[in-house]
Amino acid sequence: MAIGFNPMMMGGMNMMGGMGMMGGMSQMFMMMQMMQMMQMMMSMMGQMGGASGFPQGGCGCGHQGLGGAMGMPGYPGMGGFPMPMPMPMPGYPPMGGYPPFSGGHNAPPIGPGALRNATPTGQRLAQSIMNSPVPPNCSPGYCYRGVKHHLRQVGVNLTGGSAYQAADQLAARPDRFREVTVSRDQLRELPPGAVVVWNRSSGKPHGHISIATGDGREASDKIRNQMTNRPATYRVFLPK
Amino acid sequence: MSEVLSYLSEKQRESLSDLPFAVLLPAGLPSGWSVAGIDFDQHEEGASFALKLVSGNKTCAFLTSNEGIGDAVPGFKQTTHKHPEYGAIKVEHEEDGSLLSDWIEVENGWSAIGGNGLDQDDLDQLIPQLVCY
Repeated sequence: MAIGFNPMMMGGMNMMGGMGMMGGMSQMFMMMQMMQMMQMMMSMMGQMGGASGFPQGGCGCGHQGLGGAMGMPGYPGMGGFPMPMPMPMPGYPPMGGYPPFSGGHNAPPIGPGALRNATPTGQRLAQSIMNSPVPPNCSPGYCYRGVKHHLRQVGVNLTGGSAYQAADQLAARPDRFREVTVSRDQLRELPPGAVVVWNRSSGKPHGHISIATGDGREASDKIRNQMTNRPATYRVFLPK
Repeated sequence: MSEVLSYLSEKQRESLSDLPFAVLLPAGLPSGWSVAGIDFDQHEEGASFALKLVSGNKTCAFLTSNEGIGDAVPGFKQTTHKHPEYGAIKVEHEEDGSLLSDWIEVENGWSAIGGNGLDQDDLDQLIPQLVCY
């Protein structure tokens, strides 16, 4: 008899009730086997969550590992998820009920050369930022407005009210941008002009967007150190 | 803090009805605060409004917009402030003293509180007074 994960057997999770209903030594052995299997699976899933490297590795778009897929926050120094993660259910709404990014899952990892070299468009973007670090009418909270302003200087017009909406638009401009997979550790090494788009997450319905200045900082509604610890997924676009 | 929005001129109060969205503003101002200005910007992509207050070196802006916004970045400190209608409102404080609250959905737009130099007491006085106009 195969041991499956029949939802009807979930009563077995409750040792008292489950054992009472099933009774007998063979059922008890079967139950122990099943629990061992579940523990093994949860342990493996926990390792996957850690390997996804939410805080340090992975691409940030949420398709790798269970941490991102589950929308669980990660924080620097935690080294991934030390605790086993529950199994994600199909259709489970990640990131506080917001859907994951629709694209970016196949973006290639960034190469060491791309991290060091500024492209002509990237240099122009950096120059735009230096000329006007904070665009007019762009106080904190208007990051998308600030990035729109700077990208407009290089002929890229974005639309929409919320920052996360930029991701698909940038992905649709392969003539101007190349999407790459970047770990959180690498975010502060991005070349000037690289655009980072953060997805929505619990209590954060708009996401965030910024342009790398090339010195470990980001520009949008103000210039600040490149954010790496937002508990959300992200996509990175390098200007061509 | 006797009359609602008494800190605005009659003309300023009337202008609120012409905005393309509702705005969240304090019903009254705590002692020491005064109006520094009102900004309204409209362009083809959308519009934004800001009521700017000042108290000594502290500045505060009640923002509303329907375009170009993003959520507050995680700062070095987060505070939470209770509002009788909107519940707990989180504010992210950055190391340079700037701050931004959660964006709160209002009719046709989103409202937030930004500023610089405000402490927990300031926010505890201002946020509970927010009323939608």
